[in-house]
Amino acid sequence: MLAIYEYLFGAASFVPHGYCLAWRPDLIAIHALSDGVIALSYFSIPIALILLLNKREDLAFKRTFGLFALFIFSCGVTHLTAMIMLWEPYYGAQGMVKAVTAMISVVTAISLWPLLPKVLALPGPGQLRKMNTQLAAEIAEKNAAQVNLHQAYQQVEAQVVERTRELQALNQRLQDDVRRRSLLEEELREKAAQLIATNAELERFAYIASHDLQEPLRKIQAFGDLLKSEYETVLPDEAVEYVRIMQNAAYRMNKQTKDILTLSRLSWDSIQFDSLDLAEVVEEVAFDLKERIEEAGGKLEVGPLPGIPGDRTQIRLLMQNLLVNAFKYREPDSIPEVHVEATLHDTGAPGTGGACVEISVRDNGIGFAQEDAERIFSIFQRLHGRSEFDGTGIGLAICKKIVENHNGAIEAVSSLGKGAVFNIRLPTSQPERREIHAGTDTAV
Amino acid sequence: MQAQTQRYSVLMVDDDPEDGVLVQKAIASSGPKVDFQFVASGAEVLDYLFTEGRFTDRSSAPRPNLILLDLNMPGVDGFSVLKQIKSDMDLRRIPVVVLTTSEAETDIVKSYDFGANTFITKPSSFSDMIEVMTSLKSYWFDAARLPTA
Repeated sequence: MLAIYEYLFGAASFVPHGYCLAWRPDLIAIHALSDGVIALSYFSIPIALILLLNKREDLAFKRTFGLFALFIFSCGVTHLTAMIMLWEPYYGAQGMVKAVTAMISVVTAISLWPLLPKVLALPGPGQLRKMNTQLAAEIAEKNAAQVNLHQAYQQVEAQVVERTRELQALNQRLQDDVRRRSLLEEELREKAAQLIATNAELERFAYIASHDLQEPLRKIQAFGDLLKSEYETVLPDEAVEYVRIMQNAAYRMNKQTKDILTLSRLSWDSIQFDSLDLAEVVEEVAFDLKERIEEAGGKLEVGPLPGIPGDRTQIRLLMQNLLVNAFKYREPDSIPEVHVEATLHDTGAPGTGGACVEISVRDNGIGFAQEDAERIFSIFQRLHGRSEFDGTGIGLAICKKIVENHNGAIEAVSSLGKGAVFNIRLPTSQPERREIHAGTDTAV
Repeated sequence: MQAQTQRYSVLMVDDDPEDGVLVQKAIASSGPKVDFQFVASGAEVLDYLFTEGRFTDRSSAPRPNLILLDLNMPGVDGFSVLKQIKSDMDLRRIPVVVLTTSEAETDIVKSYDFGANTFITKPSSFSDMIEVMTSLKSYWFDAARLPTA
């Protein structure tokens, strides 16, 4: 221990450094002061560095800063010892201090070199400024984008409000429509009820026509008969002839009221579509007309006829009227020939354009001018005088009504003296049931 | 065919007396003679059949073998008369021929439902009326057998 102390501070054999300066006060002063100031300054630097290290925790290269602080401190100690050495010759201690300082200097220097590229890699203030500017620009851009976004949001919000208003208006309109529609439906129901009432009235009228109007006619006919059968022998011929004319008129009127009744019933009776064998229907009608045909020596030729959906009573009446006409309208001495044929078509059904059956009834009778072809289907339209051909002028109107009830179409093709063809197109499929009117027959 | 051993009686009820005349004439001109009685209302025919009112004396109201019944009559109509006849244990055996101007299907159905034996729509000519009466007489008084009582 003592040896170390002696080595460090043993001054006995040395002179202080001031001695070398011949104790010249000016030199002593400048050395002492300079070393003191340097030492103080050097001591202050590590303090500042340590403070900085403590304050800036994110500082890079902390270890190097620490080494540098130690290095400056040790330099400060070196200068302090140099100042003391002016007066006290502790050369051992000074040497130790210098040695320590040298070691720290070496370590610091060595640790500094590899650091150089890393330090250079750190952005300089210029770069930082540039980056800062860039960042500022980016921020400004982002801000602008945000403003835009906000504006867009406001626009969308405005649109939403607008759309909501539109939807509300639309909704209101729809509600109005619904209200109007229900009003219309109500009106329609009322109209339907009125229609049913009207139909009921029609039904009553038809019944009155058939019953109450026919009743007096029946009396005229029956009592006319009675008059003839009981008094024919005592009455002058002229009187008997008058009675016959009266009865004929009554008979015609009777037939007419019956035909009108039939026609009016076709308008309001419900129609039932069954699958009909048209051939069978025509056969039945032909059987009823057999006598009439044979009487005239006529001929009825019926081609193959298909099945059709139809109301049996109505289709029978249709074929009956057409065949009766075909045999009726001819020259008195001619031989009537009537053909009934049918062809199936994939298209051409009236209204729907679907598949249809075309039925044609062709005769070799007197025919009619083509310009009358439409007129003959109207009620009470007759082309001939009663003396020529008997008829009520309702038969073809009935035919037309029946065809219409079956969603079909009827047309007549003819020219005077060349016979006539009646073409009927009926759809091959019908709705199951068509409610024309819920009519019922009732006794009055 | 059974030989005619008794004189048959026909009772007609119709609110139209003119039709009564026609039917009477038609019956008279069609084969064997029958008694013909005529009443002009539903109420009257019930009096007749149940021997009430002015018909309390049976001799003035001989029991008919056939009734010709009109449907459409003011007051007691044909259906009511039909119902009463057919619900009476005794009268129900008398055949009732509905003879009406109606051609309505509902009337036809209802008549048979109520027990009518025949439904005929009045023909419009007198010759047809004679034909109808001839058929009726031939059928009910000749071909068919009726209870003797």
